[in-house]
Amino acid sequence: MAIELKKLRKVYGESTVAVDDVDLTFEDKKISILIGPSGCGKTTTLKMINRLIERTSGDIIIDGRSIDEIGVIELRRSIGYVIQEIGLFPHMTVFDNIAVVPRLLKWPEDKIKKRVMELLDLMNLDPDEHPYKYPVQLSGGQKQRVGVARGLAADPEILLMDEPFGAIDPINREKLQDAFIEIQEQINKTIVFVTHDIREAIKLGDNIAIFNEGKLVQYDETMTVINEPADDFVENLLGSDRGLRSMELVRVHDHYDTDFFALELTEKLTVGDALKEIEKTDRRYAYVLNEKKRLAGYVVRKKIEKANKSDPLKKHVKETESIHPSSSLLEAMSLMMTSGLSAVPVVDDRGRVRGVVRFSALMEMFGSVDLTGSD
Amino acid sequence: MEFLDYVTRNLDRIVSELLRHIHIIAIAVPISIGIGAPIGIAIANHKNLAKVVIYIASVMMTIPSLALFGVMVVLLAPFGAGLGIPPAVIALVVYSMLPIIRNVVVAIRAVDPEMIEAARGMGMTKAQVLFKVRLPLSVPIIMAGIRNAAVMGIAVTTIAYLVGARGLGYFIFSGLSRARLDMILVGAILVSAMGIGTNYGLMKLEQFLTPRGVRLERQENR
Amino acid sequence: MQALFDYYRYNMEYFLIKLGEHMSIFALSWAMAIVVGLLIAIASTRPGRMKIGNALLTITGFSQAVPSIAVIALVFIFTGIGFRPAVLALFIYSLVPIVFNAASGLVSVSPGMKEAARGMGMTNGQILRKVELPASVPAILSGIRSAATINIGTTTIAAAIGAGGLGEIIFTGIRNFNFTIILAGAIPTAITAILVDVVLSVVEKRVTSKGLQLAEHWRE
Repeated sequence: MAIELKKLRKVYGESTVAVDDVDLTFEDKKISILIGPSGCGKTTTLKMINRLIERTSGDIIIDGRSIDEIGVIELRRSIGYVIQEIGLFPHMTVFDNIAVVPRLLKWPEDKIKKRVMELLDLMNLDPDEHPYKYPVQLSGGQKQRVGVARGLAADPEILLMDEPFGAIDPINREKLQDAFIEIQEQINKTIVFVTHDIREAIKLGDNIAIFNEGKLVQYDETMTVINEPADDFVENLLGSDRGLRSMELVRVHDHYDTDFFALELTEKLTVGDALKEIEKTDRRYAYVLNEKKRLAGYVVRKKIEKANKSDPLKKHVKETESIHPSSSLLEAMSLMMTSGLSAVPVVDDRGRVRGVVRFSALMEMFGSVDLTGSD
Repeated sequence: MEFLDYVTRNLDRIVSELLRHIHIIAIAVPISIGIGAPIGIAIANHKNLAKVVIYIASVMMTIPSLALFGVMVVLLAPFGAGLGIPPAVIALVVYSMLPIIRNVVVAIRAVDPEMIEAARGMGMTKAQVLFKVRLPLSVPIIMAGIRNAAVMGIAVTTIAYLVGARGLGYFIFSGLSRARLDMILVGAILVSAMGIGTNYGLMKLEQFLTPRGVRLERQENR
Repeated sequence: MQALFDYYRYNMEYFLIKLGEHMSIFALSWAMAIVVGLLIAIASTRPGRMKIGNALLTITGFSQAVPSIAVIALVFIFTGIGFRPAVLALFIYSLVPIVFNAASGLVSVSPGMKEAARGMGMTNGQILRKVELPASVPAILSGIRSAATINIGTTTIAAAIGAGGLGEIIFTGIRNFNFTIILAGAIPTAITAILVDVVLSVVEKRVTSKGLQLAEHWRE
């Protein structure tokens, strides 16, 4: 569900403008980041969506309806809300914490139990051990996973996250972010995420909204923000090493090319058969998949053109490196450098080839950015 | 031996004064919880009002109970209730309400505001926030207030004998005026045991009522 | 109202004597309790004696639930009536909160802090003076203050064993069911109690912040 902010404005007292006529749309099933220095209006904007803060003027439209048309309690129950670990209720077990909203919605207990176990599994928390622990018995990272699970409990379309990983040490924060990216791939929620950490923004965000002094300075796709900062403020926020930094943080997952050619290998497939297939395209090489559709390697057109046409293709298949969708573009780049490949296939957990990352595309993506950082 | 003699000969009287003592407390303390807790809850969210009320409560708690009884006797006399159980119960209610109001306010205000916002953000109504979050987290401090009230009530009720409410104060004050050591000893032992026992019992109850997660958290912080 | 003023006009001398008695019972027993209480608390929490300190905490913790009138009555049994037994009873009674608070303050000084002090070459005496006591100032003061509140209230009741004081006026009033006399005793009693508490709360605030500064200073 998309969320539209229309001329959204919040004024405290007579004249303190916290949020100044903000217009933007949080896209359906995307992670949209709100970032800026403290007091820039990012948290205020977030809290106006679930009406923890009432707006002064303007409107917020969810799924075509103004949020005022929905009762405030109903609105909040239909939107997941995740804050720093402090938000877990210490007197409730992990199970009861996650079950808060489903119970408010009066789900039957067996459905709640099923849902809680499902979420624990999704969050990589042991469903035998964890549900009956209390927050005080968990580590910071575990608490935060429970916090996310609680936000997702009633399966809301929208998740609001207010600096959820802010209180976690850097190493565990990285882990949580990685886990979170994988979770979002599975759940596909519309997520609005407040942070003050530009690394986190680049790493997690599909889109980034940059705020300063209550005003929306820029709202674009993450790569656009990196390549075309709207002004000096955004450029400073990104830092002078933004090119390298963003390569390190941006995931292959959003930027691979699905336009590639693959052959399915069988025992009988000869070089001749393969060449015929390849010649239908103008490709210089083709990936080869085995019977289980897993990546077996690749063949180069020029090389097999010289080979005996009746040879089984199998003999000419070369092994290749591959990369996981959650790897960073920097990892893809360094893999190309070390292996000498101009493109690496993207292979997911199940061994399925999802696409390919090409060196030329990487260059284009970071074309306007000086990678050495000496602006 | 004189003492045991006195106990055996006056067992009926001892039991009846003990019951009377408990009776007065059993009326007064629940009333002050019933009045004090809602007042505490109602004012807890108004910062300045809460400050003023806590201040007044702590000042009033410094007023000696005997003085308060004196005032009660005077104030209630026009209604023909200047002596006996009514002034005792009323003074006790006023007195024990103070630690209860104070602790309820302190406990509720001590709940982390971010936690409250999390609860509201998830769609809890005001009442749900109160009953599912604020009150469970406030149990230890509120129970300590009730314990404080009950223990104080036992002492105050002893003195209530002087305004004709009877109870265990009978043995002490009659004993003192007649210089009867056995009587004094009976009274002193019984009120002391009652005070210590009540304190201990309510402490156990407090532990029992405190949600397990909160208890674990407290141990962690120690 | 008029009757109240009349009471004071005709009994000014008697009232002042009672007020004097009240304040001297309170001041004497309270001062003694502070000195002795602090010594007990310190002695029982020295290194190697922490067990005694903890036991003392349990005992004093429970003793706080004993009504003051019971202590007064028990002291009477052993010493009879008058000014001195009253001072003794009040001394014992106000010892409890002072020892309890001071000991719990001293017991809860972090072991790390003490070890650091020892590591820097401080003697046990220096650790006590420079580390433990400054860090326990808030707890010690709150014990002293609550002892004062309890003490001044209980002094009224001490009139029951012939100690005099303002309680005597209230007792006389209640015995004769004379409202004027009750109020003539109750009002100044309440005012004295509140005044003492107010004065001590101001002192507590001043000294506590200073004590905390000392503790802070030490840590740097």
